Amino acid sequence: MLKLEHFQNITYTHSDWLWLIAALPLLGAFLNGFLTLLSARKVLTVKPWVNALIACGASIASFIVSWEMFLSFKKAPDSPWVQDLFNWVESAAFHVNFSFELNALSGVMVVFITFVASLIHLYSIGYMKNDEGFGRYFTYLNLFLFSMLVLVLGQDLLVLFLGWEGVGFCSYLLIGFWFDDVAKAEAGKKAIIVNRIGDAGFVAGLLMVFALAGTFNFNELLAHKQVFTETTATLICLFFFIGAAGKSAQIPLYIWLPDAMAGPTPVSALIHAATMVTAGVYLVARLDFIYVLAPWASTLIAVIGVLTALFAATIALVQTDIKKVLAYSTVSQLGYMFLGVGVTSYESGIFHLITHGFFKACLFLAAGSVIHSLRGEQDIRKMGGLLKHIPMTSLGFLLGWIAIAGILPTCGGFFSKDEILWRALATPNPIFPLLPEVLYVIALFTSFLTAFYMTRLIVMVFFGDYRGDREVYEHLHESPRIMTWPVLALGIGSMFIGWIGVPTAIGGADELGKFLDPLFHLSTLDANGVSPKLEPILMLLSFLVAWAGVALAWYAYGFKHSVSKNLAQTFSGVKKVLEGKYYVDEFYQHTVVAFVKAIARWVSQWLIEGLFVGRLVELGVQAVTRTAQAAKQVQSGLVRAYLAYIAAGAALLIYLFLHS
Amino acid sequence: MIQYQAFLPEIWLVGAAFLVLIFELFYKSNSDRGLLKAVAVVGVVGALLSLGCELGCVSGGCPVQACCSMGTTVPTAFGGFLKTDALAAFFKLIILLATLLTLLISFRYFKANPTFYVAEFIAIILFSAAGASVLTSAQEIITLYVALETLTISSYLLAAFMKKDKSSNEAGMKYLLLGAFSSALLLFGFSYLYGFTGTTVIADIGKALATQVSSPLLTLAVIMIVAGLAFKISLAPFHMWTPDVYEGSPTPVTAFLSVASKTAGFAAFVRLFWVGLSVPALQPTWIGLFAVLAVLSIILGNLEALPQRNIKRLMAYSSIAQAGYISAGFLAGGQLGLTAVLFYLFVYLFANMSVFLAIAIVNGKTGTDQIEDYAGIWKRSPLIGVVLLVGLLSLAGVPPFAGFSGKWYLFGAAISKGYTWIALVGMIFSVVSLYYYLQVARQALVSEPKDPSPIEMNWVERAVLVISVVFIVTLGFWPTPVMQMAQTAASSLFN
Repeated sequence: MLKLEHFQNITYTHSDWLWLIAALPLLGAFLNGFLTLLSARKVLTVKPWVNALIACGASIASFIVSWEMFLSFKKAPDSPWVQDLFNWVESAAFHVNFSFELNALSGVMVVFITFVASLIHLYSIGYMKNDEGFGRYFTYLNLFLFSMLVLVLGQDLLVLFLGWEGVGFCSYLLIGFWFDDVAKAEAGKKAIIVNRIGDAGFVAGLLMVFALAGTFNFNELLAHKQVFTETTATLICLFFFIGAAGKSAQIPLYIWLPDAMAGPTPVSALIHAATMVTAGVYLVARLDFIYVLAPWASTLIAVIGVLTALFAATIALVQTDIKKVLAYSTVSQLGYMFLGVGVTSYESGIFHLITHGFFKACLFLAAGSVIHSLRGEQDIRKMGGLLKHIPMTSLGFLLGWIAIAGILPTCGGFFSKDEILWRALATPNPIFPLLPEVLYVIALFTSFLTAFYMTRLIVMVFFGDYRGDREVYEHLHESPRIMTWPVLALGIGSMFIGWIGVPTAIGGADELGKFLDPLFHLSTLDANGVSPKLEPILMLLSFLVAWAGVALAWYAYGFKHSVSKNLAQTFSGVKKVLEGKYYVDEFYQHTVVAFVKAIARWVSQWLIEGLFVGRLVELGVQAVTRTAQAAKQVQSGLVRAYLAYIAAGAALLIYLFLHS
Repeated sequence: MIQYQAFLPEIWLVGAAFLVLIFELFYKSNSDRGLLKAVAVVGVVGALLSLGCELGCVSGGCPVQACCSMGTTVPTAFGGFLKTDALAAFFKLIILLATLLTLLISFRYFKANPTFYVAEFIAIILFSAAGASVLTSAQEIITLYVALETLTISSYLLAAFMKKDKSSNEAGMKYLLLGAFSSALLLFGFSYLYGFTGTTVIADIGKALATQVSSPLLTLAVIMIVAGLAFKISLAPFHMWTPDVYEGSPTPVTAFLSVASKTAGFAAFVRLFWVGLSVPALQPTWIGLFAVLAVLSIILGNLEALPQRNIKRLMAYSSIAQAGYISAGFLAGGQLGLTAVLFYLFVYLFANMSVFLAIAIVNGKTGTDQIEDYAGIWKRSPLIGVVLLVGLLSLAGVPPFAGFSGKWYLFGAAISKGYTWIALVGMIFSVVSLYYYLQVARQALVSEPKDPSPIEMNWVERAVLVISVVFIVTLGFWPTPVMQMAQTAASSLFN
């Protein structure tokens, strides 16, 4: 069974400068927005480098500040830093302080977010060069960074929600950045509508928390967690998970993320891979003290997580768009993270969140560089052999591939994924005793699929012969250094980032785990009758599985093309289903969307137009018009009449109040 | 000893008014009177600064200790007849800001009407602002009455200021006749009050009445006072003058009446009723009275606004309804209700004033106040389109604008004291009000302009409009700073 550690009195350190982390990007967004507005109205012309300087400067400055703060915080990690900024809402019993908190979790997140964001900001300078909306782009990007930092730093669920909605809004703006293209504008709309469904769950959770605890402050909630019974905790957790599933693209709300690839590629890297989509994982980890009270909800999260991981990985097998493969891969990896937090191993979820952020951002940026070199081509069937033409980009992509496939121990996602697999197996489930084994097997199989589709991707893109247009081929060129260097930085970073959490089972220090552990309110995990000595063996197993995936894919797509063709023919039915993405979009279209549309039509045409406007309002308008006409008669403009009314009014009042 | 800090803002106002009148003598008839405008603005800004300094001193937060010669004591003068406590200061703040904005609107008006008597107009505005300002500090009913008359008599003149314009003349005349009548009612009530208590100091009246039982004559006195003052803030059924006067008066005067005059009226109400008449024998009566008036105003104001075609007339009816909403918070009373009243008045100041400034700017270009001529204003001046949308939606109480949080507090206060039905009427008729507010916004934003020529404005007007919009939006998201000020002000009444 799980043992809950009691909430101990935590001492807080007051900090005067936490606001700076979030304020810098906000300032950047304001400055850039203002300049862009002025240049749009032709008041002045703003050179692109000014926009770039402001945006990148704000992001990098924010990173430096958070890094410095994190270092000094790390010296005494037991006392979180808190800053009360202002009194946000005050209305009788409803009281919200706008305050930030830097603790082990938010500290790690803030450093990670600002670091990755800074690199992506730099990369964007090259990627968005010559785009008309250069200033607008950087305004949105900084605004996004601000919202994300508010989300992470907020000491209060409502502040977190402000950031949550902020990142959603910026994501919408950036997916539909090239809104002249209707399909891209539609993708933005889809993202925000699907997220609305999730946010309805979030709001329901918020209301329920407030109804029970009367506060949104994390620390007060923690202190009063006894108000949550198992039933209410389960409900709250499920509501918040609906929100998390929307934002982090889990079954059944994942459908917006692949479409979100319509945005500029650096946006996909920053928002739809590294940071925003992981907000759901962060939310669950931040509310861990409620989630440990609700084993049913946690179990559901683990199951949905592992199913999403498997489901998305199978779709990724047959995608032909380089960004779509990565998008489904992101959905799949997010599934891993939810598996981690679902089995109440919050630090492993956060660990994977960070390693994934590095290598997926690297992969996306490299993919963007590939697309940039090929003048917008995204179809991997028209690529091939790019290794010799764009070596820097290829190198970055290959580093990302090594990290995600988990084929080199100690590199990239190897440890973090393994940690999740191990915890999934080792954490006993209080409801279904056999569940850990099932979770483990599915997750292991998914890691095979991951290695397979990623290898297929790199073989088709970087090896073999070029299969695309000749014209494009002749202009093939490496991207500028401002793009390739951030890719390489992230690639090299993702090689080493795994070292922050080397498992103790193989003699590592597990620094991240030990750092985060005191924050999460689970003291020990009894092994599920599984000996800890098994962990190295399982690690070896997943290592072999990953290599099997790589070898198989390389064989099928690199050496023997006939194999992949035969495979496709033998399983043509399966392939069709996978290419149709299990027809989930179509299913939603014909059920949910059709249903909602029918209701909307009924409401707007029959209820509102017909009954309400047609009958009731018409009646009301007539009544009001008549009254108004009568009143107009009274409003005769004659002073004597007005005097009479005043006198009559006073007399009536006297009669009313003296008579009774 | 007289503590002149108690009426320092008024000294600024009156001083500036006299200077304006004197300087006028040196001008030739056709010259641009730039100096007069400057003196007037300096006068109001000086008043605001001295008010801020006094507030800072009383709360102990003034950075310049030299200006706080009296420490943290609340300044009083004339044997306690004037006392500028935090409540008075808050009302003064609204009145002074409204005066400043009125001056700005009138500068625009002078340009369109070159034959205007600039100096006299400015001076009278300053005098009436001084009257309103004194009224907020008055602790005694004669002082209160004199201050009120200073405000009202100046307003009669202002309303009739367009001498050659028939409707302006009509407006002034009507206002004078009806206003005189209502003043008579008020004075009648005051005389009874004095007869009952033998004192004119409001706090002493409260003490004297505390032990008395209700009597018909006392009730009569209360009704007379309510009727007299309800006229000033145009509560139905004493609102008849409002549409005619608002429509006929010059636009800056309409703006001034709708905000400064109304605020002064509420200041009088708050002092008289929550200090002087807040006694068990009378309270149920006048609260019931206000409930009737509030509901009547909300219903009549909103309904009669629906068919209006002239924007100034529409704003007149809107202001009647707004007075009704504010009364709902007023009759709930207590810390909660009065805080809500103060906060709402502050919000109302920005929403109403920015809309009237927009009206004046549009009128300066097109020469009309008909709503149909607002078609496509958005294309002619995007800023005016935004101001009309934000200002009017705030008046309607649509989130996320400040009007929403304001109404939230007003109706919340009413509900907390058990007047749920008043809040309900208020909410239902807020929905009705959307119809006519949005009608204007729709004309401005959706329709095509007949004449697409752009509408110009100078940078001060632009800045004021932008600041107002920023205030309305910010106070909607984050009402706390102003709320805290309003709380301090309201609690000063109960100490």
